[in-house]
Amino acid sequence: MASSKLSAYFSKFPGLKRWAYNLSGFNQYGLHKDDVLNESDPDVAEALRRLPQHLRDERTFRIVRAMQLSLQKSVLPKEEWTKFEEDKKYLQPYLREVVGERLEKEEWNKNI
Amino acid sequence: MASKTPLLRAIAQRQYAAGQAAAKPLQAAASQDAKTTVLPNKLVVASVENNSPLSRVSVFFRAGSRFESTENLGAAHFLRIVAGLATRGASHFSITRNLQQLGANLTCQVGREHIAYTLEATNDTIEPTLNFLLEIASKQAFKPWELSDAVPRLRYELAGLSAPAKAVDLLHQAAFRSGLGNSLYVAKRNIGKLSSETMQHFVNQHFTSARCAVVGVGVDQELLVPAAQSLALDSANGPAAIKPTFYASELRRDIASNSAFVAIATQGASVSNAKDAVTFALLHKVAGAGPSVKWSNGAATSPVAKAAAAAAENEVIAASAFNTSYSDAGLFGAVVAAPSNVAGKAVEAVVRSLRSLSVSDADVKRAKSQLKAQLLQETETGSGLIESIGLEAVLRGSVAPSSQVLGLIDSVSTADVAAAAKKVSSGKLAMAAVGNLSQVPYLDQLK
Repeated sequence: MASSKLSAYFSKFPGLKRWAYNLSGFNQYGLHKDDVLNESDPDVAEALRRLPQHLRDERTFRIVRAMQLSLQKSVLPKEEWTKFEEDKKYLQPYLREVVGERLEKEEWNKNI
Repeated sequence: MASKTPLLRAIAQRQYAAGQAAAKPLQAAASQDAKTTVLPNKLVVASVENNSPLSRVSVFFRAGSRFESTENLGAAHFLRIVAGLATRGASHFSITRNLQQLGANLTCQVGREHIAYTLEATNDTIEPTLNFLLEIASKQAFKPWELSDAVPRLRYELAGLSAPAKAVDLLHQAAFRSGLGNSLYVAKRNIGKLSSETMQHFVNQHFTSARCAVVGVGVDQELLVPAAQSLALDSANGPAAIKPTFYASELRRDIASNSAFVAIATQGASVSNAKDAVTFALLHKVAGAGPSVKWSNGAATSPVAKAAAAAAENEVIAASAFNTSYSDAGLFGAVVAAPSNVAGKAVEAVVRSLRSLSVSDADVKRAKSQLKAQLLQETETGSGLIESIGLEAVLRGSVAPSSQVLGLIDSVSTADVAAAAKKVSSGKLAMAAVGNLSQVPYLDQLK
């Protein structure tokens, strides 16, 4: 609850969001935000399973590239960093659906 | 405590009742006849209110396997497998739990010409569950991950198919090739290949109001009509069926087995000519439609079974006549199951007997009684009745009262049946065989 209120508050300051995004650092590896979600979370794992093949391939490519860069203790040249505006939240529609289904199940199991 | 009714009065009543029963003509009660409404968008709504405590509602579409093309071969089978998965308005989980919580039962059935989604629920829960049926029948979402999760069920069904079922399916392929010849089951090469888009396209084309019927048994027409009106369907006519042509060809599938299963047929009657269809149904009974007494071998009244048994030399063998009618074509013939060593002789004998069926008055009388009993038995159960009126409503657009069908059976003469037998005796044959086919003759070796 609180986090969604907080995020609503911060969305009034798009500049602030961009600043926080650039500060987080994963974009320097060319990753998108949805690439760094916790894969051991069952919701994320299920959403990834549902992801269409081409999106999954792109994601894998970005992750492999990031691992390689991390091993070499380097980052991409600045012009290849993921920009805040170009960060595709490709997993969100699937994740929302998975979470919705889980909440629906929990609601049923609570009541009946 | 014994009944207080005086003995004599009880006897009198009983005899009166018995007399009534004897005098009653063979027909269903008036309340069993279906009420039919055709909506402005050509959707047919039909219902029989038989005051059963169990209500059944079925949504039929003219969208069976015959409407598949080479690209989406198996779409109808897959549609049946994925019935009840998530729709645009409800998740798979919520559909399952809601129906289960109200004690309802949902099934999906697919034929060569139709697909039917059927809901069974008690009278008091049919209303709240009806919306789920309408969702499932008209708002499929075909989520790609749910479709791929359902693929093992397709494989499971294919693995469990019996050889006789395969033989009859192959017979349709041999006789009609495309359209009506499409298999009821998904082609192996299409397992896992039928994508969400393919399925959606098939549904958009074929699930239209002009190809739809909503039927009910044990429900009021006043409940069904608004429900049918709320179905959001396109009103297009959809693609026409490929006109079936009969080909005298054969398909053989040699598999490891001790037995051979052979289905063989000539052109039969289509239901578009009701009298022809009934005549062939009678000829089917004359030729022997399988044993009617449990554990009997059926050879007593069946020329086909008798011929097969004579050829089989002490081996256990099963043969019966086979008849099926579709809206624009039909097949008439026989199915034989025999140990492989005598299969050849058995098939030859069965074909000989099919080619020389004799039709006597007594045979036709027996056939009429058997056919009437079969029809009435089939429509006695709610599930049989809803299937029968649903098929009529979706394929013909109207539902004939059962008395009319029984009258039609009576109107067929021995000469009509003999004429049908003559057609069979000279018609070209199509054939399909599955099993150990070492002894089974090829089509050109049969006369």
